Amino acid sequence: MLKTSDSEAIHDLRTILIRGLTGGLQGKADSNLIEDFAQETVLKVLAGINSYRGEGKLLTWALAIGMRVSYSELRRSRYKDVSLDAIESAGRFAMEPFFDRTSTLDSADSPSILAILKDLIATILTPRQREAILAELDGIPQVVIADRLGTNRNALYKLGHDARVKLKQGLIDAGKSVDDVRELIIDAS
Amino acid sequence: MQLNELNNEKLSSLVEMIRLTKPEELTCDDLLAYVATYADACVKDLPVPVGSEPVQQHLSICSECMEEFQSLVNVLRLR
Ligand SMILES: [Zn+2]
Repeated sequence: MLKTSDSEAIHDLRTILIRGLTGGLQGKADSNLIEDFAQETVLKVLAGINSYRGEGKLLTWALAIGMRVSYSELRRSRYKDVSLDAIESAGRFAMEPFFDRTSTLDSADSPSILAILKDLIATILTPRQREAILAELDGIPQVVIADRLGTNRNALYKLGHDARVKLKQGLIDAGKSVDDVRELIIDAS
Repeated sequence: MQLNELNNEKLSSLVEMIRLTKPEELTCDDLLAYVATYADACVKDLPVPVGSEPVQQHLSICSECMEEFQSLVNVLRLR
């Protein structure tokens, strides 16, 4: 049972969140949605407040959670009607080595760095890592990819991080530095 | 997207992300524990708090946390 002072504090927090989210989202959500976002944020703040170890102001932390809650829902609703194909097609990709001989980045000494990177994506990543990376490069929000892969944004970030670490090491093992690749791409564009 | 649809623009974003990749990174949830201190300092034009490199690194690589951070900073500036 909440004490009166607690329920007043929660009411005040909700009011501050509604005001903050209205200002921060700059027209991306209507007032009804913002009230829902604020309500969900209050629940998350109450659930996490005892374990909050951050040194920042509590109110700033609450607003940061509010932004996370709001943007997650807005991104979800933007992609609600998009087909699964964009994500699933990456998972159906064959595992054979992939050398793109037609690339404009190909040079006399083949395979080109572009081909090596594509080959690494095809061969050293797990299907889930590949799906995550390719869907993200397609601009699909993390929360949407996570929902469809049956995971959450945090685990998806770790999946993507593991993939990037592998690709970085793969390029080094192939004798290429990331800066080499970057220069070639800038030159070609 | 199929791998053969990976054009130079997308490949360029991936290369930039690989370039910025560190062996240890904050996840999106980890970031929430530190972002308030960092955002408050940015808004007040205070020196970057000691130990903020992982926060800056995550924001440089995670466009969604960056979008949320920018909205947070906008709100704090209004207050
Ligand atoms: Zn993030």
